[in-house]
Amino acid sequence: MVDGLALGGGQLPLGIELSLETRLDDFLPGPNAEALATANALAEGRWQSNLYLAGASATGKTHLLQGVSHAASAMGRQVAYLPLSRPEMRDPELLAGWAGFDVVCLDDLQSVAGEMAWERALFRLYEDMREAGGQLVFAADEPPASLDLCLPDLASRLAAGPVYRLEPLDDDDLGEALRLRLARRGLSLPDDSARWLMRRVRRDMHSLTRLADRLDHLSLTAQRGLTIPFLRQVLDDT
Amino acid sequence: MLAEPCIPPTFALEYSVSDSLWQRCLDRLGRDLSEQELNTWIRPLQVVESRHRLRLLAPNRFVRDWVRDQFLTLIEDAVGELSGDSQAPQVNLEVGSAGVRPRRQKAEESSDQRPKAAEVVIGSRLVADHTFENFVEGKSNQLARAAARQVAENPGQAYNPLFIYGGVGLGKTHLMHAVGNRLLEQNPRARIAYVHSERFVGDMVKALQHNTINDFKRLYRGLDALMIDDIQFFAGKERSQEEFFHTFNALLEGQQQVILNCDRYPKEVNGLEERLKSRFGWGLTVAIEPPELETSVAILFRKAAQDGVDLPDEVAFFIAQRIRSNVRELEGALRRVIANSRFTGQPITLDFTKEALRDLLALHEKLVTIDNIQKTVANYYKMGIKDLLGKRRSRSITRPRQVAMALSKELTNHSLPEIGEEFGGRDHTTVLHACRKVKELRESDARINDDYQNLLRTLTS
Repeated sequence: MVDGLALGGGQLPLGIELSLETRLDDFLPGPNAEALATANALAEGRWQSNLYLAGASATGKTHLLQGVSHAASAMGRQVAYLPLSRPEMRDPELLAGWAGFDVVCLDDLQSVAGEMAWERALFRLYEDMREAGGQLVFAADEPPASLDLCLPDLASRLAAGPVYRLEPLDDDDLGEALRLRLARRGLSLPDDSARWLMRRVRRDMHSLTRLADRLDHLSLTAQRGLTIPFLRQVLDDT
Repeated sequence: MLAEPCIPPTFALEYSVSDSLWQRCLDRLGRDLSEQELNTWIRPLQVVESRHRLRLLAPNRFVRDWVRDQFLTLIEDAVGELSGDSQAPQVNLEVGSAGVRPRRQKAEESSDQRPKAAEVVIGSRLVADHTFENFVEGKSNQLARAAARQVAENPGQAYNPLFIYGGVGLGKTHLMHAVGNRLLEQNPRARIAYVHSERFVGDMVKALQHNTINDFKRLYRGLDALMIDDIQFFAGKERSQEEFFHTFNALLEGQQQVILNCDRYPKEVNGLEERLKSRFGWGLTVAIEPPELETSVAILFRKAAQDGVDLPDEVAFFIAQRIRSNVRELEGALRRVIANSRFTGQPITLDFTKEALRDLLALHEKLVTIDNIQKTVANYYKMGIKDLLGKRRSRSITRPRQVAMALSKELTNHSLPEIGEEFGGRDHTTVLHACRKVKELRESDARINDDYQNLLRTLTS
């Protein structure tokens, strides 16, 4: 509440931010249409091999994985999302016991690559899932061959499903992605504002998502639309 | 077996009711937890509901402990709140599984002609598709295939043990399963085990912990045929090697067949006892080499046919020429081409394949920085970085400068003001002008376009 007051008499935003679930529908494909199509098919059970997504930070790996989790779960399939870079994921035992699941999504594989205990656990998970007929979706910053794995057996298995390298969006698509994000919050971003903005901000999806959050908050507080003067004020304040 | 307790599927049916208490509980928890927390910890819990009890089953101890420490109070509160006036059921959190649910019905219906996976006593089920008939033979694997065939016809007699070694993804496991499938075909009651060495070690450790090592021994020594995959995983595990050594001897003495796979020649496995190495050589040791081009092509045709896909010759040769490492990756590349074709509705042509595999075939991308671009451009035009970033405005200097700015915009995520800043503190409009100018020049001047393409290639290859 103190934050709200400090903003100077504008409308106080509600304490509960709208929680936006990550959906495959909201993934702006750009150059990654094929990866999106395969992810969609896998989530719905129309594609029967594993899937590996490689790409730099902010290219949409986590979005696709969370989207697969959501879509598969909505269809009543048993699914788990395991982001391996998180500090609480510190025990390879985490990877045991998933064989009965339809889909297991493993994010940030690079954070456990090179650690023997993890690689063995991954190997076991891979074999168990294969045997039980479940599917794995992997995401990492590099394709399997560049992950520096200790186990060549694991590297070749990871490369056995299709491996997609996700490419960053170009400026037009990024502008469109920002517009989509704002639209889901009920905000419209006029064309000239979008062009103006894209020349001045960091052009990657993480920065743009944070920006969308901020614009949502500030435009509600200030009761103003996303005009160029308003956007200029927002950028000047940072 | 030593599996986690399994609840019969009849009980598990109860939780599929969509307006169940747990479903409402999930909706309630969604307000307090992040999407990641829900997808990682909460949704994966399997639930068995009854009137007085809500059993939450975690896949392993780690998940159980984390959920107990972080979320159990929250869950109990939600359950209490949602139960209203009636007595809230007791929440129990344990490790387990609610039984295997019917899965992939469609896939199974469509492939009904395929034989069902054969049952084995210990270890993993045999893959029904891994037969001798489905094994594509070539010069690289001829000997191994012939030996495996012999063993399948005369188990315990021909070569014992049969030791197959070779790089990953070349078909060693396929041959093992083929032997197992053939043995079961001849004698459905044969006791056969296909075990990955990882699992052998794991099961043995569990047997030691649970004091059931004698059962473990009896089970293994009573087999008609034992196949152990990737025995290089035994390296450094002395207790497992010891146990395996005795099992191995017992089987060989009883003329029961043993087949072993390894990624290298037995003598080259470090951390393996000498007595084991020498015993592995008692039977026949055969190698599998990476497939020659023709074999790779034949494998691709076979795989494509299995998927009902008509693969043009030139496409098969293109993929086989470029993916030389192993069969698994070869198949991965093919799967990707098939997926792209299926989901875009385009036919599989050579150009389509090149496009589909472009990133797979490209060497891994270097991380491109503005700094790197400036150095590469300065080097290309044989000028100093100082000039590139400096104030001079003669055309021989502004042109490369503009090219470098345009490349920075294309290859990095930096904002235009950031790029301007990196180029001697210039305004973002200067960067914008440079990008437009370079675009225009590339269309009108072939030399500049060549320069740009060369630089792009140097920076991204």
